[in-house]
Amino acid sequence: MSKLGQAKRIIFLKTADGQLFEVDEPVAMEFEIVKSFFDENEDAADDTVVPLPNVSAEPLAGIIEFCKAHVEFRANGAAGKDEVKKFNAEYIKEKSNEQLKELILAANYLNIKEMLDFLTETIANRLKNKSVEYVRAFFGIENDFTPQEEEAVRKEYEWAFEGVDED
Amino acid sequence: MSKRIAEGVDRLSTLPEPLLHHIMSHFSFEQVVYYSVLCKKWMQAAHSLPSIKYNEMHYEMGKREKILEFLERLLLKRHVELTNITDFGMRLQIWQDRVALVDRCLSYVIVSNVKELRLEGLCYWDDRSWRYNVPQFVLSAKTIEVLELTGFKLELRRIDLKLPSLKRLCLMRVFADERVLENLIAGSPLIEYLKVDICDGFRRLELSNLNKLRKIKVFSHVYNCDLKQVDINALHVDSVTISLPFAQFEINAANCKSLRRLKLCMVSIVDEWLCREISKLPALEYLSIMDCHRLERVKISSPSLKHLIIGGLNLVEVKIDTPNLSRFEYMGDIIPFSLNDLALAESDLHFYSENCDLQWFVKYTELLAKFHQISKALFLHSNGGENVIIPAELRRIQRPPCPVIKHIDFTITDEDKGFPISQLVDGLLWICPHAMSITIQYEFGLFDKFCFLMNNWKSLEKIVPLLKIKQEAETCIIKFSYKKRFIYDEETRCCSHSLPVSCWKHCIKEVDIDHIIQSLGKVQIVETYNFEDEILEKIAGISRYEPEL
Repeated sequence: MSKLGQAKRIIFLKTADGQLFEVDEPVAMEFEIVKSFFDENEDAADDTVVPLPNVSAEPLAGIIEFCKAHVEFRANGAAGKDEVKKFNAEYIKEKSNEQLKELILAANYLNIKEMLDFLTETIANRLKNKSVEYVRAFFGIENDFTPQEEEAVRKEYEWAFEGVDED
Repeated sequence: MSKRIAEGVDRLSTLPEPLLHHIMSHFSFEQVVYYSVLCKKWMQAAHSLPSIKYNEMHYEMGKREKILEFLERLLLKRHVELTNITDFGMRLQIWQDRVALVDRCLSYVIVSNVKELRLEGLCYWDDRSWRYNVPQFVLSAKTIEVLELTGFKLELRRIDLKLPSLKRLCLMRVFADERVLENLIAGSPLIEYLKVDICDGFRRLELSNLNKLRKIKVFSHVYNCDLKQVDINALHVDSVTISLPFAQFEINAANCKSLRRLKLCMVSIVDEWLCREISKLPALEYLSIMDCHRLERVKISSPSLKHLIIGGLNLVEVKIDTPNLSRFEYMGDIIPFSLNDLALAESDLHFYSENCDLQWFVKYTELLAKFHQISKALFLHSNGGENVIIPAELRRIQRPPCPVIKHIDFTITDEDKGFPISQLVDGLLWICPHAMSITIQYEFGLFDKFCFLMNNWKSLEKIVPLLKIKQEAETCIIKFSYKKRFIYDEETRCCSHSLPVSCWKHCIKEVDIDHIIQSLGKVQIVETYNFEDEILEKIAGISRYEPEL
C-alpha cells in the first residue's frame, strides 16, 4: 500500500492473527464496521489501529483487493458495466469453497453488503442445477439424515425432485 | 471443478443460519425446497427462511395444484412454529375455486408478521368479469411496510382499513372501489411511495394529509380509464409523475414547497394553470410536460428549474424564463421560442412536421442557430432523418446554423423512413461544418450506432474529449483529417458563397469509422473502416444492420 501524497489518509487494521494492514481510507470505509468505529470515535487519532478480532489475514487481503477495485470502478463511473462483471468473474474463479466460506464470514463480520451479496450469489450459482449428491460431495456436506428420514423428506418434497438433471 | 470435490470438511453447513439464508435468498422457491434435503442444518435454515417467493409460472400446469398445496402446508407450519416471514411474494392464477386456499395462505403470512407482501394475480386486463378480491385482513395488517398488488380487486363491505406501518404501496392493474382506496390511503399515514399503474374502478385520487409521502406515480395508457382526476396536497412530496389520458390534475402548490420533480403526460392542463402553478413551486428542478393536448402557449417562469422537457403536437408557442436551466428538451413542430437569457449545457431537440417544405427548413435552421448560440452541446433527433436533409437551394442561401459545434449526437427514432447514412452525414456536416465528431444512433430496440469523430488537422489535443465519448457510448470513431485550412476556395464551385469556409468535401483527407451494433446492452458487432477518397460514396456502401423480426 503506497502513500501517494500527504492528503491521503491511511487506516490501520489488525487481524485476529496479529497482522497489520494499511488500507486507503475510501477502501476501509467500505467496511461498515470500520466506518462506524470512526463515527463513534470521532476524535480517534490518525494512527489508531482498528482491531478486527474475527478476521484473519488471508480473507482480509482478499476483501481489500475486491473493495479496492470496486471503489475505483465507482470513481471511474464504471459501476455496473462489463468490466466490473469481468473483474468479479476473475476474482472468484480461483477461489476454493473453503476460501469462499472464509470470505463470506469475513464480509459478513465487516458488514460489506455489496460483497456479501456477490459472494452468496456465487455460492448459490455453484449449487444451482446440481444434484443433492453432487452438492454434498462438492461442498463436503455430511448427510446427517438416516436413510428412512431422507426417504420421508424426499417423498414429502417429491415435486421438487421431479425433472432435476442429476449431474 | 472436480479437484474441489470431496475435500472432506463441511464447507457450508458451518456457516451461521443468517448466512445460509443469505445464500438461499438467491434461490427460487423450488431450489430452496430441493436443497433442504442436503442435511439437517440446511433443512432447518430452509424452514426458517424469512423470504418466500412463489411463482406459479415456473411450473408445469400439471404440477401447480400439488405445489400450491405444499405451499399452504409450509405456510401453516411456519405460522404454527411462529417463525416470521418478513418477505412474501406470490404470483399465480386465481379463480373462484382457489379463493379459499389463497385466503388461507395469506392469513398465515399476515400472522407471521410479514413486512413485504407482493401478490400478483395473473389475468388479462380486459377481463373485468372476475378477479380476486383482496381480503380485509391484508389491508389491515399492522406489520406490512411494502405492499404490491397486481391484478386484483379492492371491494370491501367494511372499509376501516389501517396499514399503520405501510411505507410503499404499488397497485398495478387493480380494480378498486373509490371509497376503499380513499380509506386505504387515509389509513396509511406513514406512506412514502405510491404507485398506481393502470388501475380502474375509481374516478378520483386525492392525496392529502400524507406528510411522509415523497414520491407519487400514477400511470394509465388506457384511454377509457375511469380515473379522471388527481389532486395532490402533500406537504413533503418530492417527485410526482402523472401519465393519464385526459385527466384533470390539481396540485396545491402552496403546500408542496419541496416538490423537485414533476412529470405530466397527456393530462388535461391548460396554459394559465401551468404558468400560475409552476411559478409557485420554489424547489422545482425537473419539469416534463409531454402531450398535454390542451396546452398551446407554454409559459414557464421558474428560478429553480434545471431540466425542462416540453413536447406536444398542439403547441403554438414556448416562452420560458428560467435563468438556471441547464438542459432543455423539445419535441414537436417548429414554433416560436422565447428563451430569456439562457445558458444551457445541453439542448435536446426533436423537430418534426407533416410537411417539411422549404419554408419549414428555413425556420428550422434559424431555430437550430438559436439553440446553438445558447447551448454547449446539441442532441438532435429525427423520425427518419428527414430534418437534416437540408434542401440544396437552402444551403446556397443560408449559413450553416451551428458553425462552431465540436460534437453532435443525432438519433433516429423511426427506422421505416430511414435515409442512407451518407446523406445524413452530408446533412449534419452542413448543419455543423467542421464538427469534430458525429454520433448517429438508430433506436429500434437494438442499437445501431455510428460515431463519427473528425479530427481537426492542427489540434490533437481536441481528441482528448472524444475519448470520453468513446468510453461512455462504447461506440465507434471516425477521425477526419483535413488537407488544409477550411478557407473558402473560389474554384470549388460546389462550395456555396454563404459558407465562410469550404465545405467538408474539399478539405477532408481521411475518415475512420467504427460501426458498432449493440443488442441487449452488449456490443455484438464492431466493424471498422478507413476511407481516404470518395468518402461519401464509401460511407454509402456501409451496409446497415437489419434487425431480425
